[in-house]
Amino acid sequence: MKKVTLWLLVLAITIGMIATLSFTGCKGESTAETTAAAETTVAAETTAAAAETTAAAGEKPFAGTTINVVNLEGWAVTKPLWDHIGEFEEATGIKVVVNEIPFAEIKTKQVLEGESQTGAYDVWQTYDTAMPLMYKYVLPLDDLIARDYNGLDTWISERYSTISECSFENKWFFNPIMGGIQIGFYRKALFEDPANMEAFKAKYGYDIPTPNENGVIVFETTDQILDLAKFFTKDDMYGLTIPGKGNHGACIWYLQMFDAGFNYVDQEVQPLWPANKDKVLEIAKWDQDLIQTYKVCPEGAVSWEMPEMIEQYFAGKSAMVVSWLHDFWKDSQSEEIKANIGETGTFLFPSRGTSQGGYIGYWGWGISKDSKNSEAAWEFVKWANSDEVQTYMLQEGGGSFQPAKISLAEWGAENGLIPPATVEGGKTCVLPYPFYDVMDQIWKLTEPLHEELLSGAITPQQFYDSHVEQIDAILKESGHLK
Amino acid sequence: MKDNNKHKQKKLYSLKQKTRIAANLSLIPSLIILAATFLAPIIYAFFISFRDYNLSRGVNDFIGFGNYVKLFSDTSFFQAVGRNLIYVVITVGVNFILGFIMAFVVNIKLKGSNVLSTILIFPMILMPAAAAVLWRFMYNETFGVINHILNLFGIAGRSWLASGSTALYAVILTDIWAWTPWMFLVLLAGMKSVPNDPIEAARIDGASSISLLRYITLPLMKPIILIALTLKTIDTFKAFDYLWIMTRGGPGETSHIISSYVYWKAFSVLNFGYGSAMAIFALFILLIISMGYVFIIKRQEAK
Repeated sequence: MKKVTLWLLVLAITIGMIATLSFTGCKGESTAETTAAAETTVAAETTAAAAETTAAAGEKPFAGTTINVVNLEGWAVTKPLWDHIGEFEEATGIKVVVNEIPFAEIKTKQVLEGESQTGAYDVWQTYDTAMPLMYKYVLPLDDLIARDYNGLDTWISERYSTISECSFENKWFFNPIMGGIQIGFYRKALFEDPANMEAFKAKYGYDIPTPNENGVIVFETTDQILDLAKFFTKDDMYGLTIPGKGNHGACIWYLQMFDAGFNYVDQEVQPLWPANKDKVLEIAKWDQDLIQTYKVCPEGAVSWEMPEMIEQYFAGKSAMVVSWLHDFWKDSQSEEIKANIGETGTFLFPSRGTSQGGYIGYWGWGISKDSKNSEAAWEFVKWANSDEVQTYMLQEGGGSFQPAKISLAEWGAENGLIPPATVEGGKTCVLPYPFYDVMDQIWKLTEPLHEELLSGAITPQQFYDSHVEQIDAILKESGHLK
Repeated sequence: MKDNNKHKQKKLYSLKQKTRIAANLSLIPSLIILAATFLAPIIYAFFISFRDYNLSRGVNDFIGFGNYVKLFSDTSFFQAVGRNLIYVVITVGVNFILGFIMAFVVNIKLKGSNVLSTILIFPMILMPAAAAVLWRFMYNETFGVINHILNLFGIAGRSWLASGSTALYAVILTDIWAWTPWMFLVLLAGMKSVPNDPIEAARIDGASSISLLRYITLPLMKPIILIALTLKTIDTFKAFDYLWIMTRGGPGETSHIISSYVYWKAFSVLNFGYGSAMAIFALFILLIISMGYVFIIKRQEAK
């Protein structure tokens, strides 16, 4: 190669590398310094903004500002929010650009943005198990909440205590949008059919469970669900369909684990499974048997997430389904679906003897530390979580949810806008404590292993062994294991 | 006279040099972009492969060959490598056979072959993500058209994407459907470039169609066949979109290939150091395969 060309190549590569590294933003300061700088900036902006607002009443202090907001792709719960976004833009002059991100990417994309410090997303949206990982990339909201919600204590007292999931190091990093628990749907027409009731009693020796005074069937044992599932599995209908794929599939495991009263680790972040081996094996076998032994759940469910599972239910191919079904509550109440499968009732999974429900998980809004429009972003968060907008979301959304604010949740329940099981389950559900740095990494172990368990590729013992081995490895690597 | 010639030579050299410098300078923008978008990420990945760079734990420490030692004891990774090789061999092999048959039929120039060509390339026009979603629904156990058609023939349908024994092959079928048209187009171009004279001469001598294909068409098409196979192998080795959308490496890890496994480790578990080590190792495997093809092509050219 000619010398000149070689030197040109070296020069070009060097320029290219420098350009790339510059654009990707090498960190020049420590995280602590960044935190302090960001907080100081927000405090200064807060003071300035407050002064400006007082001085220029009636004007739009953020007119011309554009903010980028993350939203879970296709989320039925927040759809009304975007339908009404024009009102917010009109009132504030803030232009909102919505960045729809699929669930599988929502954590990764925001974390990578946080690491790169680009400030590409002003408003973050995230879920419970990702919050311990993501809080260090967003601003603490205590001062803003105290300023705009009549004090921090008032704000806390108006909300369920479980919102503490959104706080770390004694500070609030996320403004909770909603809490969710996993519930079941069942076809009332099948459960309440006199012929079915008689035949079920004759076969199993007890009556088909009926709803309590709140309109919810609370199963006492897993045998009850299984008996019903076996009873209704015939022709082309399955008794109980669960999602098996990815996070939705793993959530069925998490639900049962918390219902049975244990977790992956204890409060000291030490492994809990060896002490709960029998429970792990019992739940694992129960899940696997649904598909492999009793065939009350279709084999295809191993590759299904919630949307495919609920399609099965709405098409009349399943008598019961379990998942984050508040997302489909409105759809289940539509005339079209009722014409096809009749009324839908709700049920809660049995507690396996603990009197404790599954876990409640919150979604929340955060404001990026690197946002250049943090005050405008806060205006959006306040609006999105306002009573007015949350009312729209309850009334107009395709789905439903448990608002974090108690008065809103009670109003929603009174007006039939929240599934009865969600309201009932909220009383016994627990937070998935403890929250620790590698929480998401450990919880994610279950995703592929639960799929393999359901497909029959591994035994419950192998499911247990793989988890224990990998949990130990992660805790050792992260310095938690004593 | 001699001085005149020397002066002319000097002018020529100067003109040649100027042209060369101008040509080299015009390469700079392309080289910068190439360096920024291609070389820089690879070099960066190489450097972080020697680090414990894990965002879940908030660490970024130098660990030397730690990630590579971990890699060589990761049976899941090597299972993904094995599946990747199966994926490539089957996909490229079937792509070639079907593509060649399609090109042969169209090249005969029967009535309607132009329309046939347009129809045949349709799968290639569809965006991979859209095609993957389409096939995912087609494979659905309850609502999918594949099971519906099988049932019409009295064959029991199955959960194609939910079984470890069929998931990977279901994705392979989708990839074959999507990219056989590309092979068809390349091979058709190759067939059309084969000179007519030797074929006519062979026909006059009484050669059959099979003999023509075997002794004239195929040998003359060898260079283009080798290039098509090389490009398709490299491209298939990096397959990701169909597999990720259809199975995400599942059920469990039973359909993971290198790209999906690396993506899972790097982006789902946020272990960038380990993910980079796997990516560099995969690059190394791909380099060896590519060099093999280049060696065969060069040997072919030498002949």
